[in-house]
Amino acid sequence: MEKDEILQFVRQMKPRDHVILFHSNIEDKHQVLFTYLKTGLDQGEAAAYVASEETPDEIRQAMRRFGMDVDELERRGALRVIDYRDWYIVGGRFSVAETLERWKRLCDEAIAKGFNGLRVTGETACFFEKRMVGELVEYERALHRVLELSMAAICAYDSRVVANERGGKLYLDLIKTHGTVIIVGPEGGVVKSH
Amino acid sequence: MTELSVGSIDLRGVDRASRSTALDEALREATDHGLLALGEMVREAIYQRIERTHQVRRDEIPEKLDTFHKALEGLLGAGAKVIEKQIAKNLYSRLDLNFTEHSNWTIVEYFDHAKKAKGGR
Repeated sequence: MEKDEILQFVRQMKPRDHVILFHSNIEDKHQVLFTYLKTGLDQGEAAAYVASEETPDEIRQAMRRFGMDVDELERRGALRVIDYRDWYIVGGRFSVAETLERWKRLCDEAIAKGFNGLRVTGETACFFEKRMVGELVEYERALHRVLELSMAAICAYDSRVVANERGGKLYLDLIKTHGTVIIVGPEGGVVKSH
Repeated sequence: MTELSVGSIDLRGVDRASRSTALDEALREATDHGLLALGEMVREAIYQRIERTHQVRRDEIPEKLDTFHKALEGLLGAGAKVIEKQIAKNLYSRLDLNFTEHSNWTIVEYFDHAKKAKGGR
């Protein structure tokens, strides 16, 4: 599959879609995730990006380079770029229930403000750095519950990290437990969908 | 005495060319199985893509294994390592060989090792 086809796939994502992205480098991650978020923003949806592989400011700068008017989007509440310490691992602990509740509140707020829906994405690097992989797997399973809301989600994983975790078993488990998986390699990629 | 069998197929007395053919077929079937971790449609898409971009058809994988490995890495990045390990584990199971993981081996090294263990080419 060509990368253009992968970008077309994320543009067409709908509320309640829960997708895992395995990327091979930061440039590919930016291209896929920003295309996905920008498409939603252009359609009148709100967007949120939880940063942990990069800092929120690095993400904002990369978004600007991608052509997104970050300041204006944040000013009118359409876009939130969030530090993982304010979302996933707060005060050094992670709670699945509290994180799901945050997503629910964010979604409700977006709809209340008149947005057509919400597209979210979260980098998962912090779970590997903090050795919270078991909690991450539990969270991934539970995330389906909040996706009853009008919200689409892409969870972003660095292939290089996941492939070495648990002898590759985590990579295979994540593929098995998710209906839609996007894998982007240096020369293209694949989309495993329903 | 060198064990000469592919799975339940006894290869003692079988000539070297036929032995290689059986090993090659075991690799093709193991590749089918390993790629299935990504789903049947994705497996077919990968075969088509690699044939188009790297001129490696499914039946040519054993003879062009290095090219196949590079093509898979191009598509899956580091994930190729996980899929190749699945292919190798399945191959070794078909050949009744004990699988031992080597972190720096690709499917190319695993297949070479299997061929030597089975007395192939």
